[in-house]
Amino acid sequence: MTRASALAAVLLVALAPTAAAGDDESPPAKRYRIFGQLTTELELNQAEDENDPEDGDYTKLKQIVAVNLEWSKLTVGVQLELLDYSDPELVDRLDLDRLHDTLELRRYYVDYQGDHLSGRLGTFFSSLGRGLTLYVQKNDVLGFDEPIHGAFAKLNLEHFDISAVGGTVTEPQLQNQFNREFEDEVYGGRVIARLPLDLYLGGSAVRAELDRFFPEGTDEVEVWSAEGGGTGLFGLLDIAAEWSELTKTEATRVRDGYGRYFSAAAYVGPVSILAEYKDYYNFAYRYNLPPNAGRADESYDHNDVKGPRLLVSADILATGSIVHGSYAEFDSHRTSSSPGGTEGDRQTEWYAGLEQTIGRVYFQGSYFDRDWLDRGITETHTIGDFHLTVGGSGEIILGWDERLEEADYFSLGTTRTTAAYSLSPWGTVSLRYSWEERSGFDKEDFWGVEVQALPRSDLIITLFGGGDPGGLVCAGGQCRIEPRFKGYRANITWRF
Amino acid sequence: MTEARSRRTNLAIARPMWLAIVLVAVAATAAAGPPPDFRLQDLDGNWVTLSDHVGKDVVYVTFWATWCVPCRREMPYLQQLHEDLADRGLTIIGVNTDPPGTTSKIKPYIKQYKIGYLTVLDPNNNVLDKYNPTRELPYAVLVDRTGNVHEVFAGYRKGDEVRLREKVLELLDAPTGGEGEAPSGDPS
Repeated sequence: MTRASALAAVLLVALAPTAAAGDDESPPAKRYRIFGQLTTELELNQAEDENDPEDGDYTKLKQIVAVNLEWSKLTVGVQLELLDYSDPELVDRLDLDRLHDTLELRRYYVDYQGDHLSGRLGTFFSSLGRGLTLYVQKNDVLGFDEPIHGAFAKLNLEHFDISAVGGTVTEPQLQNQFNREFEDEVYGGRVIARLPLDLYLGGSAVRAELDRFFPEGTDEVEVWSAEGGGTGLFGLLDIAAEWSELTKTEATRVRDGYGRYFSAAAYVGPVSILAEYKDYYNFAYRYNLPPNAGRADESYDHNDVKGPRLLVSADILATGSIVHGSYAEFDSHRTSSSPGGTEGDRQTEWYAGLEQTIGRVYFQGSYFDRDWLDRGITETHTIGDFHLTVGGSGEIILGWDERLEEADYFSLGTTRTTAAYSLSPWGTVSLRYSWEERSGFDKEDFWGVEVQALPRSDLIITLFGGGDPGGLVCAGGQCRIEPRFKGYRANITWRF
Repeated sequence: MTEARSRRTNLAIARPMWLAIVLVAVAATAAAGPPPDFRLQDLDGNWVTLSDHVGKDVVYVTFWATWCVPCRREMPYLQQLHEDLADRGLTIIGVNTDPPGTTSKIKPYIKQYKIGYLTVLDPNNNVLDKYNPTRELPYAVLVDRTGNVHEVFAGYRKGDEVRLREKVLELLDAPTGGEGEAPSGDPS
C-alpha cells in the first residue's frame, strides 16, 4: 500500500464515525442486497497471421462474474475473471488481455457511501479534476481495464470538497507492448472551494513513481494544477480554466512541462457555443489525459500541442433538426525539423453533423476532416445512420462508417456498412459488410452476421459469425489498432 | 488433432464449471431488491443522493454518454415521459458517464436536447461499474415505490419507450403502502 492510499484509508477510517454521526438524520435502513452479473465470451478466431499462416487461429474464453453485497452504507464487491487462450503466444501482440491467461481476482473493494464522506479500499478508477494531473479510467471499447489498487476518500463539506487517492497501477498499453507489467505508484489529492455566485477555486497535486523501461529503476513525476471557474454566469455562461506544471525526473535528466486549459460555453436561445484553448508542452505521462472537446472517436495528442477550438450546435426549430459544427487549429511547440523530415505539426480540423427526425425516419450523419499541413496527410471520417420505424416496435437500420487516410505516397481506407432489423424487446439481427483498401494491395472484403437476443430483460445473448477488418479504433480520446478478426464470437450476459 | 487444438475444444466446455457453481450459490440468495445507492454531483455541483428518491417516487435511473447514439435516440422520449408523469411521482435520473476531460461538452448537450430531468455525473464510472460491469449504454433500472428494482433495460431499440411508459404507468397506478414485493434478505 502506498503512502497516499494509506493516508486515504486513514482519512476514511478516522472520519467515518464523525461523518456517520452527522449523517444520522435518519436511521440507516437495515436492508442488504446481493447483485451482480455474469458474462461469458467465447471467441474462435481464424484470421491468418501474416507471418505464420498455419498458427494464426486461436480460441479465447473469457468469463467474468461480479458479485456485490450492499448493506446500509457499505458495499463489498468482488469480480473474478477467467481468461483462457488456446495458445497465448499466438494471440495478436495488440490484444491487451494477453498477459492474463488464468483465473484472476480483477476487482475487490469495500465501499463506504455517506452523506458527506465516501471512499473505497480496494480497486477503483479515478481522475482528479479534468484529468490534467491524474486520469486512470477503464475504456471498454479499447480494452483498457487496469484499475488502481489502493484507496480513495472524498469529504464533501458545505463549501469544500477534499479528496485523496493513492495506490499501485499498471499502464495497459505499455504492459502489452513490453510484455511485462509496469507496477507504478500514484498518489495525490484535490481541494475545491465553492465560492459565491457559483464560482469555484481549487487545485490538485499528484506524485507518481513509474517503473522504468530500461535500465531498471524508477522515474518520478510531480504534477500540480490550479483551477477555477464558474457555472451559469450572467445566466448564460460557463467557464473553466486550469494551469498546471509538471516535472519528470528520469534516469539521466530532469524535464519540465506544463499544461494550460481554458473553456467557455455560452447558451443563447437554441444555440450553444463552446470555445476551448489548450497549450500542452511535454505534458503527457502515463496517468494523465487532459481535456479535449473534440470528437470522442478520434485521436488527439496531449503531449505537445497548442491551439483553439470552436464548437457550435443549434436546434433549427423550423425543421426540428439539430446541427453541429467545429473548427480547430493546432500546432506543436517544435521549432526545428523533426527526424522524419517534416517541419512541423500544424493541423486544421473541422467536422459537421446533422440529426433529424421526420415522422418514422431518424437520420444522423457527420463528416470529419483533419489536414496535417506540414506532413501532407488528410484524414476523413464519414458516419451515417438511417433508421426507419416499422410497426410500433420494429426498426430497419442502415449504417455507414468510412475512415480514410491519404497522403501523396500512401492511402488506407476502411469502410463498414450495416443493415439491421431490430424488434423491441426481443433483439436485433445485423448483416455487416466491410472492406479495406490499402495502396499497393488488393481490396479485402469482410462479411458478418450478428444476432442479439434478449429472451428476458436480464439476459443478453450475442452471436457473431464472419469477419471484421479491425484498424484504428478510438473512444474517449484514446485509440488503439484493433487486430482483424475472422471467425465466431458468442457473448452471454446475465444480470442478477 | 494436435494437443493445442484438443485444448481449444476442451476449454470451452470444462472451464465454465467453476462459474456455474458460484452462480448457483449466488443466485439462490439473489432477488430483486433496492438499487445500489449513490451520491453524485449534478452539472452545477449540487449533490444528488439516490436514496432520497427511492421508496417515495417511481424512479428511473438511466446511464448514458454523449457519444452514445442509442442514448441520444432515447433521450427525447425520456424527456416526454418526465414532462407527462413527473407530477404523478416519476423521477428520472440520468447518470452521465463521459470521462472527466469531456465534461465541458455535457451541458451544451443537455441544453440542446432540452433535458429537464435530473442529470448527475459519474466520470470515474464507479457507480456504473456496480450496476453494470460490462458498461454497455444505455443501461437503466426502473424502481417501484417500495424501493425495489422492478425491471432492467439494457440498450435501446425503437419501441422500448412504449414498453417503458407502460411499465411506469403500471407502477404509478399500483397501490402503495407496502403491498409491493418484500425486499430480499432483511437481517432483522
